[in-house]
Amino acid sequence: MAGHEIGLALEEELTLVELVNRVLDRGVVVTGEVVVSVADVDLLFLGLQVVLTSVESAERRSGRQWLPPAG
Amino acid sequence: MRGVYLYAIAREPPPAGLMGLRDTPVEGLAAAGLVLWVSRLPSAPKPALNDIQGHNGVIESGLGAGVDLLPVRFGQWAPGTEELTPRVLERRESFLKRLEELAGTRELGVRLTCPADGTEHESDGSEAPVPVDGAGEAPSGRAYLERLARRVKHSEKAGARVRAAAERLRATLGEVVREERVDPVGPRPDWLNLAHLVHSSQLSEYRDRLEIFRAENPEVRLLLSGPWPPYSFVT
Repeated sequence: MAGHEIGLALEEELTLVELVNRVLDRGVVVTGEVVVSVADVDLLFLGLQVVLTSVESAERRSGRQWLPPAG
Repeated sequence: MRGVYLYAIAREPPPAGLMGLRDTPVEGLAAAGLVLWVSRLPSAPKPALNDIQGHNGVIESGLGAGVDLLPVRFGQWAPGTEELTPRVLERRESFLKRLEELAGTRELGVRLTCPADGTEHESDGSEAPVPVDGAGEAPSGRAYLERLARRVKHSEKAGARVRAAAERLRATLGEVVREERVDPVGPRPDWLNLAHLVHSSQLSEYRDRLEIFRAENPEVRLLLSGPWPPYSFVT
């Protein structure tokens, strides 16, 4: 994720993280099979960490508070 | 032999022509008042991004067509309907009840953090100097414990701040939020991940109240997403 432009790209990444988090970790489970290994879940969390860190870094550099639009 | 892959549990069949993973049609399997939305797939799909998006796409299409459904987690595959249907029917009553309760609703995601203000000394202790211990104890041991204690205290304060902010948000949103789910964000004490269940007719009121909260709480940082299908509220 390093080097991407803050702004639309970051919003898209946040949306993807939120989507993947829901589809892999929430929702009805009937077969009881675990699709996602522990390592995959850790990578998912790291993805969000990197995105959050990007937001904080971008705000420090720009001196502005960056907030994505609601919804 | 072909397996079955489950996307959603509903009371109605999927819209005609709805396509799912690997260019397969989405079929409805009727089972005692429920309809299982499935595709015939030879094997369980791996969680690749395009398949994850495809799975969610089926659910979004259903909701968009006005059908109430319970989103199913990715990867619910069985070798045949005889392995899948009985497992769904075991929980038939609770699924029917939940379908009723979730009718017309969507999920909003709010991640929030509440940074300390400038008047508070924001130190997690990690950069503190190592003091010399006059009692002769190895300085690194005691200093380590002191740093650890400062770090724990910092975490507790950060956790208390963000929990208080989440409570203020909930109070401002009021009855527009039918149900709320609060989860941590990994090991970070200073963030919380909220999911809010809101009826689709009240989404704009939700946003209006959120703006009120923002105006009254400028120090709180929010990352918003949605509306989503109600993945976080299926049970």
